[in-house]
Amino acid sequence: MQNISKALRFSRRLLLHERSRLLASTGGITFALLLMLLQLGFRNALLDSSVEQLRRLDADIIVINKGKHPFLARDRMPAERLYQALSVPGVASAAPVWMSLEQWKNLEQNTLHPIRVIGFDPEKPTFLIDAVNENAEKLKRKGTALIDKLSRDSYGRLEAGPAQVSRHQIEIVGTFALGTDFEVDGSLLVSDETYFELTHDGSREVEAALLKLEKGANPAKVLTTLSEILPGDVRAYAKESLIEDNLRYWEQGTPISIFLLVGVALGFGVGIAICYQILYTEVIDHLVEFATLKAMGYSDRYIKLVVIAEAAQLSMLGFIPSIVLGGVLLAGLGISSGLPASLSLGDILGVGLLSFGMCTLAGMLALRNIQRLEPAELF
Amino acid sequence: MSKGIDAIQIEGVNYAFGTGEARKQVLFGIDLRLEEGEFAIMTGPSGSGKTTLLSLVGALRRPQEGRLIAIGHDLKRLDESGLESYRCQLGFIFQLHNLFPALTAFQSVQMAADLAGDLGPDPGKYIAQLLDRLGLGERLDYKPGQLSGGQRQRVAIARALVHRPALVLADEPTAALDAGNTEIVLELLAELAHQRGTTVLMVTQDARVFKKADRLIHLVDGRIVRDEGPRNPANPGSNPS
Repeated sequence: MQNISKALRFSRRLLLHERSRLLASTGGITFALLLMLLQLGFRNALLDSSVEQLRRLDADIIVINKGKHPFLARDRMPAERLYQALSVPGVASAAPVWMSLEQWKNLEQNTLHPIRVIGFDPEKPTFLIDAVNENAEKLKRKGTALIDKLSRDSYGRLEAGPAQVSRHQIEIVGTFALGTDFEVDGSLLVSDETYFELTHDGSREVEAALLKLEKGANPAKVLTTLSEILPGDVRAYAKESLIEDNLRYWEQGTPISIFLLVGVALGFGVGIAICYQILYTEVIDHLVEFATLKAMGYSDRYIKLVVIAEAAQLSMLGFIPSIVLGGVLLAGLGISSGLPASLSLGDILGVGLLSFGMCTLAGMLALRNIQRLEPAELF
Repeated sequence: MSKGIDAIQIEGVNYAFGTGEARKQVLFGIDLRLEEGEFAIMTGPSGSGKTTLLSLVGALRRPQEGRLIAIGHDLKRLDESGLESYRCQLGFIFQLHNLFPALTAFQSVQMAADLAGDLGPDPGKYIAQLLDRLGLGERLDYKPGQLSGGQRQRVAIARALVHRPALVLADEPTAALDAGNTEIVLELLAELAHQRGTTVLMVTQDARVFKKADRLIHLVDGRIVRDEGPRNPANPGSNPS
């Protein structure tokens, strides 16, 4: 322990001696960590936004088309499944949900933008969003809608007033907060009646059935009964399991998530290269002095400890500003895009560990030069 | 003063650099004994093998042939940890100071002091006193970049002596020093040898320092051609220069 504390003190002195080099080194490592953090933030944005709507649905069990994957894909099922599900003992209510992509007109700029229109029965509990439930009564009036206030700025004015969707005049009667995703930049909530009018949907199909269970009902038992009763074209999921299933789909089944992970790996690689260059220069510049330490009786182990301690401190020095910068950049991205681009504590700790691993690995590579130390050359 | 106990025993030491046709032997059958507390100077023309012999005694090179025992260690048989522990008992003074630019004079000396066991109740005070003795009392917090060549060399000398080594090996330690500072350093080395029993083996061509030595060893072409001593400090004649 005493050796570690001495090595830490000594390495700190070595680092602090050349302030401009330290500043450049910290900048380089911060850059590499920032790359990783941004990729993780983008990945979180992708994953969180893809299930955000699902999370906000007021349901214990969700019945959907068997081929509907992911949830935001439009794959409908016959409306009869709703009533069939309702007949299962333990199911208290079944609420339908419709989804369609329509064209929102920015009345100020006269531009069209795709918008997700979600239809629901205002009489039934459908969303876990207070603003929606408080305004549900207003939506019963045909031709009214609630707009997601986190929709992109390109949609124009996001407040109560007249609006145009797919050439239909509607009236915005309130807002709610949901956020955008990688498919669309905004959402509109309407009653079933308004939905049919906007979309000209005459089919007897629904996007999903949201089931609420009776108090005391056994969800596993209800799920089993639903799978027995419902025809094979649909499938019932516990809400949490559907969320996990969707997250898995985006994490493992799509190239975008893999690309983002490759971005993290790339940042790690860039970080090792930068950190190695810094430590290599440090070792080479002080090769004679390190050899002198060895001649004095310092062990190879101690000298390696000094270099690793330098690496560890560099990782900390780069980590702190990268967290601050990463947080600011992702917050800015979140505001401008409406995507939930944020970092969890786990992400931050993970990048901290990656930072330490990256610098330590670079330190170990740089240490290969220490093996060449030959104190005999000092004479 | 020397105590009659061998600090260094060198018997039949040969040493060569390179192999095959490139092999060049630089030491030939060296036999030498130095007693504890002896202050010996090794001199000779460039390429005579004196620095190689110094590095062998300092365990910076492995002996190839012959027997080399220093302060109780058989240098041919030392493993890595034995080498480290042996080197901790030595004080090296190199031609170049080799100080870390990041460390102040005090910190540089402290690096060596950290390796020592007991430096008394106040090691910091001891380090400061030693640097003060070498004329660096006002320069404790100066880094090498703020010191003159001679001052840096004196810091390196303090670093070599701070842990009260049993054996000091010095390679041209006074080359960068003026007459006044050379005198201070030599007095310090002589004091270590005669009062503390430290054995000093110094390589130098500097004739100014010969008179301080108890022993003067001449090497020519890898062989000891003259060994003057032990000399009587009261009769420091026979200066070969």
